[in-house]
Amino acid sequence: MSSSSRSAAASVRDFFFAEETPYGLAAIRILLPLILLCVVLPRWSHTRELFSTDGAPSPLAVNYGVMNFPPEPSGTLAVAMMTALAFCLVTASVGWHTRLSLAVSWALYTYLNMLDSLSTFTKYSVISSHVLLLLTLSDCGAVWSIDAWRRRGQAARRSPVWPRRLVQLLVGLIYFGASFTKLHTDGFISGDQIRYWLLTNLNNANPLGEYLALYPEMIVIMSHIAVVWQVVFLFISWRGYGRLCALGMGTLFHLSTVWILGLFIFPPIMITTYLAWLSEEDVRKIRRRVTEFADRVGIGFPTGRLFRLPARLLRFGRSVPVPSLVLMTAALSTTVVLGLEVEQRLDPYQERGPDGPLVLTPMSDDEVQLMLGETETIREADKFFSMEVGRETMGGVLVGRTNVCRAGERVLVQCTLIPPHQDMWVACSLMDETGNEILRAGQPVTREARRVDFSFIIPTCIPPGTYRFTAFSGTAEVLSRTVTITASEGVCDTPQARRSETAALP
Amino acid sequence: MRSIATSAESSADGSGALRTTPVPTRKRWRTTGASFVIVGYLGILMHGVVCHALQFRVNAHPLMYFTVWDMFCGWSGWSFRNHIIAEGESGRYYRLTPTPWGEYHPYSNLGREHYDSFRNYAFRIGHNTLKQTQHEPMVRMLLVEETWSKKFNLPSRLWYRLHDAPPDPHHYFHIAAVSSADGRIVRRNSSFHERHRAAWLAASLRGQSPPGHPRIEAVTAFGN
Repeated sequence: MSSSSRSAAASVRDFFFAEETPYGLAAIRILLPLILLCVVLPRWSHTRELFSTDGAPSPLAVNYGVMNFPPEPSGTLAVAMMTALAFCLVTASVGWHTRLSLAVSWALYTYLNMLDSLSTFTKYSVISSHVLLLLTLSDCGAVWSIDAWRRRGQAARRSPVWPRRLVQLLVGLIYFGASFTKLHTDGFISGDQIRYWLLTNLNNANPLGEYLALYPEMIVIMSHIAVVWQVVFLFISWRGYGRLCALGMGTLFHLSTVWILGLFIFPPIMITTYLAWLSEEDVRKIRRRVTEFADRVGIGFPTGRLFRLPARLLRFGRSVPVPSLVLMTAALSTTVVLGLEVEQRLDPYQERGPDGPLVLTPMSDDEVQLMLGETETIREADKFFSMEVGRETMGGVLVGRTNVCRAGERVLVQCTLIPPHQDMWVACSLMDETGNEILRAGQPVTREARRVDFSFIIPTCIPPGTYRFTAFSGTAEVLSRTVTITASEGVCDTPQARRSETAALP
Repeated sequence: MRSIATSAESSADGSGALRTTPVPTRKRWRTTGASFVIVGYLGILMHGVVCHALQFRVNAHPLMYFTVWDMFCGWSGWSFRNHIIAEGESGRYYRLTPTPWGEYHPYSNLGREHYDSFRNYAFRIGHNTLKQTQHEPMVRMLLVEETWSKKFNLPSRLWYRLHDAPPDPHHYFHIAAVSSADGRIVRRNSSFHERHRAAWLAASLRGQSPPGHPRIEAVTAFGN
């Protein structure tokens, strides 16, 4: 074996098998289950409906043409599993029998998610399943956990770094794969798809996204940055400024999706996975700096106060003359039984009311007529998103939008189309306040077009005032935009000159 | 592995005391096992990424969902909602969603039936509502698709930055599928937009082919 091969093998070995105290994974272990509880707890009272044969589960496999995968549990079993999942997420977060808690959490979380592809299973669930699995394989309970406190007096365990590396590679490959999605998606780079996503009210409120939809040029720029960042993340995120840049941009990107896209769970999960970049050395540095800062301001590092309550609880736990695993099993069983009892009393379908199950009420005739009448043809106006006036385009979208033009100036009028639409003839006119047409241009628009541009030179001799651009699809007026035209810098003094100039334009 | 190695050593020296010297062997086994896990795991992840990049067998199995990162699948310029309705023997119609016992809203203020973009689960949701409630005997269920242009989702404070005229939203309704009362699908129609595309294509073909041409008839039939 050559020395270069040996050194490459040694580098790979060091990359995966160097030993460290797993602070980064411990931090993920603490935070990830807490985030997942924000998903699990609100669904708990709907478990019977979402995940069991007593309800209407929506197994992911059906979308792939595979039936009965995984098998659907009964209502009682589903509630028991969901309760156990919530319990194990808590014990995983506090690090009580960490590996067992994580393994049970991973198995139940993945299984139950696969039964509800409509309202539970998303890509953040998949990422969480991956991370829970890797945490299960790691020794993340070695620090910052009840397990570690139970071994009080022993030095923090060190273990090979490979689970942390796999989390890092998972994140890098997720971004890398997601960049292919963007490259494959027609209309991503031009910003159209993102613009429509910003106006899709399927997630939580996204006021910033709605505002951003007015500025497609910003979306074009951000789309390009996002693709480049996702491609290079895997290669630059390992050390130094590359790491700072990749993780910093990622954090900003994910935080912005809270307000831009209304995503509440995906961002904290992704940002939590970034803790896999936290090495033992980083933790040492952070501790030193925090201690120095605390000393400088004279408060001292509040370790004693911070851990007083957990220490008391631990002392109490130690005084209980029962092995910890038995205690955990008893606590889990009690929680599950309590969960079943509470769910039974909640009566999720309200079947045990004084009049028995709920009664369906008939729809009104108007509602029936509205929903079941003849399917209507799409209005011409619904095939057009907007019409704007500007001076330039960037990446195909209008920039330098304005409602004020100068006589003699060249302006662009851009109509944004909403697919699907058929091949169309689209025309655009400049009209004065009385409806007289001053300029008109038209062009065929094929079915795949997302925009149509008209270039006009405003006549030099046009009187200053208020005008409007109007778009027509065939003969139907679909959009109009009012503009103010100011006087030209050159002088047009005769009515004849004015008339001849206007007539010469297309 | 540990117990075998340690017991062999304790019987060799005859002292009966357990020694912890076989750690290197155990470590080597752990390293070998970990290497298999690393290679296997990265292999699975790479398989998903490559399949996705090449658009090859990405829907081969449900587990592909775990390795294909298609978080952004493209969004239409139209908003969609699903309504599940049942027709009783009396000829009266009943809404099965929102579910009468209180609807679960997973991501926003919408029921889960609105996230059924492939329309694979709507009738199961409807059938569950029928199972859990009192009602007259039903003859069928209908899945009605409601759609409108997304430009009308702009809040009014932003609408007037793009438009002079006030918003005039129009919602279209279209029967997407019909099932029996027990949830078996008996008819699946083309979607609202597929229907329009087919109609436009038929109109376009009519200009190129003589009336009654089988190609036109086929496209027209699809659109109905």
